[in-house]
Order: sequence, then structure tokens, then C-alpha cells
Amino acid sequence: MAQEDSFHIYPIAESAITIEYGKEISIPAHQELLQLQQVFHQDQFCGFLDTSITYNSLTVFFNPARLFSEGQRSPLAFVHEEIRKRLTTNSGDNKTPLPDATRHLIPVCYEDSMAPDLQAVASYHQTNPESIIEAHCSKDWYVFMIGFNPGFAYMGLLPDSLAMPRKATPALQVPAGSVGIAGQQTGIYPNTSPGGWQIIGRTPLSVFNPSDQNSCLFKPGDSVRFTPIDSNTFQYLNQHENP
Amino acid sequence: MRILKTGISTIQDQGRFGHRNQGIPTSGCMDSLASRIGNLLVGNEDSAACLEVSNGAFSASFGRTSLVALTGKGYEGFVSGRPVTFWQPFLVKEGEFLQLFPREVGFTYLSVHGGIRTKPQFDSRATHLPSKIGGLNGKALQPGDHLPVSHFPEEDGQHIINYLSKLSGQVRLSPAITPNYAQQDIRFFPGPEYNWFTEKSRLLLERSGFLLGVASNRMGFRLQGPQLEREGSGELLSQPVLPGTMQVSPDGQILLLMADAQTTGGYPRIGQVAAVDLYLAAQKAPGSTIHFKKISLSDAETLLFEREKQLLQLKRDYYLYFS
Repeated sequence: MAQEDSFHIYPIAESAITIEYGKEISIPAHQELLQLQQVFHQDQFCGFLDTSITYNSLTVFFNPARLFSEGQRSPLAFVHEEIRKRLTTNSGDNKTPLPDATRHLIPVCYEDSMAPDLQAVASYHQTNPESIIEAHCSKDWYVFMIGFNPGFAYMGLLPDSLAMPRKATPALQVPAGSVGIAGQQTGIYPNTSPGGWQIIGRTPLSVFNPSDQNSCLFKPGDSVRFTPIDSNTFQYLNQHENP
Repeated sequence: MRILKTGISTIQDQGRFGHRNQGIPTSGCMDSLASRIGNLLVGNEDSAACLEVSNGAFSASFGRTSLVALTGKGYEGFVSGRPVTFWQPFLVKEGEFLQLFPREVGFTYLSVHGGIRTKPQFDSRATHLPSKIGGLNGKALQPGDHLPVSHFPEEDGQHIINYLSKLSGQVRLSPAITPNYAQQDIRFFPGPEYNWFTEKSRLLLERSGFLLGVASNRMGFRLQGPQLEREGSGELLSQPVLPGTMQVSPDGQILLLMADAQTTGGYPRIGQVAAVDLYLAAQKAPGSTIHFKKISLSDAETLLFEREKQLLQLKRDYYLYFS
């Protein structure tokens, strides 16, 4: 059970305060932050703008100008107090329930043309590509955060037998839908962009669609299971603009 | 309003909030001070969208008489050949052309009474080019684009229009309120990983000049300076970053994140530019040198309070003048 004192609260800007919880990556700790995030969105203080969750922190964003106009001389002090209040009320039996999570089944084509680094990952672990694919599809991965690019979900935690450092030199162009590995994380590139993750496959699904308000397929707390498909099925399911 | 010619110009507002959990950046005007003053001059709320003009000549024609202001840096403006002054409101009559010619690197804001009325996306009209969000179809403006603007002036706007319609009706802002882009010092306060850096590096941060590299854009500025070294070699778990965050990349150089900054980053954050000085940094041209000056976060907050008070006072005085 999280105690108020185990949260480290510090400002990162005039308009943002971070609540850090632990230095390690853990799903139970992350779920505490997800609960807390709900509290901020359900019980909004004056000037509240947004929250953002990472592996081990929740950051609250607010509008200082709004708070000044309400007579607050120090918006940071005001918001810090609002955070403390919510940490106190959201404890023990009064915890806000976890937000609904979705379990996603994501098809991935692991064939050579879409998996430029699969062989390198296999060699790194002194095994064959088939075992890497099998391991990558063997369990549900937890979505910790969305960041880097709109819709880019950081999932994990990969076992040591799958984890691999990112590339020394990032690739200039990683195609949209590419599935990669970086350290103990796995993720999907929503758009074609430069990137340093080891690419082991590609999903035909579009994971971020800017024309839709519910544009992002994943949210923190969701779980993702990958399933292998062949390139014909990929072409059939392909939702990307430039295959 | 119809765009006839443009460099890299986008529709921007004061940014997009509420979607960080989808990894969607704030975006919005690089020089938010100039754009807020622009909105004020034409009787708009802060949240109204304007055009951010950069990288090349710009011209537009107006289908009806419009209340307009130009703020920011880098351009000279003309209405049907007559020069117009920045930081003051003016009318562009039906059928007239507004032209902007670049004089130096910078962002200029074209504010129109009623704001640019494109369809908001994720609660904002700000354009984020990399993910094709906001603006007009998520793109930079193109010649031929037709921008929706309001047809009916609000009360404050009407007062200003009536005043400017009179012979020789002119308003000038006190130079005390218009930004001084020549200021070299950019104030910052220590970031969460400030103490990860050696004492020498922390001193260098304040004592050296940092050259703004050419590979700079709305997402961030690459600065070239002495290599900033860390005490240890721990890895940072990805943490939130925002416009003004000073990240240090593995080669010891500063990446100063700007309006289109990504939402999270894994590089240590040595500092955060004071919100009151972010507009100044935004208007620095590649090749210019930045000097960082350390202040406390509490001082940064006080400076912001003073700035907001000044803007509120200006708004009050300005509208009182016309009513």
C-alpha cells in the first residue's frame, strides 16, 4: 500500500509538477499512478490542464495565468497543496478504482522484408529468429506510457532473453507500423519516422489516427498480445497510407 | 482570407492540452508573447488562432475589411504597398493585399479579429506538422488556401474598428510592453537532473555562450557549446518534457525543446527556460549565441506573475481607450 511519503513531489516548470513513485519499473506501482491520474481528472482543481504518466511518475500540468487571475501568488504552492490533498484522500480503502483497461490482439508480420533487425536480435541472444518471434508472442505486454511521438506506446517488460539495447545509430526511416525492441521495452512506430529501436516486425494496423478524437489505439494500463501473420495477410489487413 | 504566397506558415494558438497521454505535444505559437499581444490588439481572447509566418515572403488578400495586427520579429509589412507598423492594430480593406517581406530570421504573427476559424482538432487549432494534426488539414499553409475568419465583429473589436476608421486613427503600444528581442540572456532554473552534472559543467552552462545550430526547428534547438559532463552514468527512465526543457544528449550538447516538443524524453534535464524568456529563445536565429543565466524557480514564478499582471493591465487600458 502506497504511503503519501513514498511519493516524491517536485516541480519541473512553472506550469507542471511531477509525482514520482519509485525508481524502478513495476506494474503495481504504475497502477497506483493510474489510479491517482483518475483522481486528478475526476476532481479537477482551478487551472488544471492535463496529466501525463510515465513508467514511474505522474505529472500534473496547469495554467499559472489562470491561477494568478484567481488571486494566487504562487500557483506552484497552490497545486502542490492540491496534490497533497488528493494523495491523502486517495489512500487505503478510499482508492479510486483503476480505469478500464483494454486487451489488444495485434497482428505482426515477422517476415524478413518487414523485420530488418530480427536476425540481429536472434544473434544477440544466440538463438534463431523463430524463438524470438515465439517469445515476443508468448505473453501479454503491459502499456506503461505513450510518448516520443503521438500514439507511440511503451510496453513491457521484456525478459532478458528478448531485451536488447537500441541501435548505436538510429535508422533514418522506420516505416509506420514497425514493431521494435529497446532495452526491456517493445513498441510500435505509429508513423514513419527516424528511430533507434531494433525492428523485428510490422503490424498492418494503424495505431494512431489523427482524424479521430479517439485516435490512439492504446492507453496506459492496457495490455497487448502480438500474434504472427504472413505477408499476404499483412497486405489484406494493411491500414497504412504508404505500404 | 486567401493565401497568395507563403514560406513556412502555420495556423497556431496557445497550444493543445489534455492529450499528453496519447503522446500529443502542446504545439502552439513559438513566440507566445507576441501572439498574445497580437490577439489583444485586435480584440481577441488569448485562445484565438493566428498565423505564424516564417521562412520566406508571405501575402494574402482579404475578402472583407478586417481588423489586423502584426507582432513578432523578422518581417516588414505592407498593405497594398503602404508600409504598416508592427505592434499596432490596423484595417485591411476589402480587396486589399497584406504582404510580408523577410528582413531577418524570426516568427511574425498575423492576428485577425475573430481569429482563424479552422476546425479545432484535439481541442486546439494549433498545427503540429509531424503528426498532421490541427491547422488546415494538418499542413502548412499553401498558396490558394482559403482561411475561415469571423464575419461579425465582437463589441471590443467594433470599438477598435470604429476608432481606426476615423481619419488618422492610430494607436501605439508603449515600447515598454513590446518585447526586446536583442536581449541575449535567457534565464533558466535547474532541472530535475541538474545535479547529475559535474560542478564544472554547471558553471560552464552559465559562463559559456551556446551557438544555436542550423538543425533547429519548431520541435527544438540544437545548441553547440562546451561538452557538459555527468558525474555518473545512470540511465534516466523516460520523463515528461515540455517547451523550454534543456535536455543534454549523450554527446554532452544541449537540446532546447520548443513548442512542438515531444511529450517525454530520456535525456537528463539540466534546466528549464523560465516561461517569461521562452519567447526570446524562440526568436533566436541559427548562428546566434545564447547565454544562460540561472535563477530560482521561485524567481521564475514571480517574473511570470509580473508578466501576466502587465498583460492584464495592458488589456484593461487598451479596451478602456476605445470604449
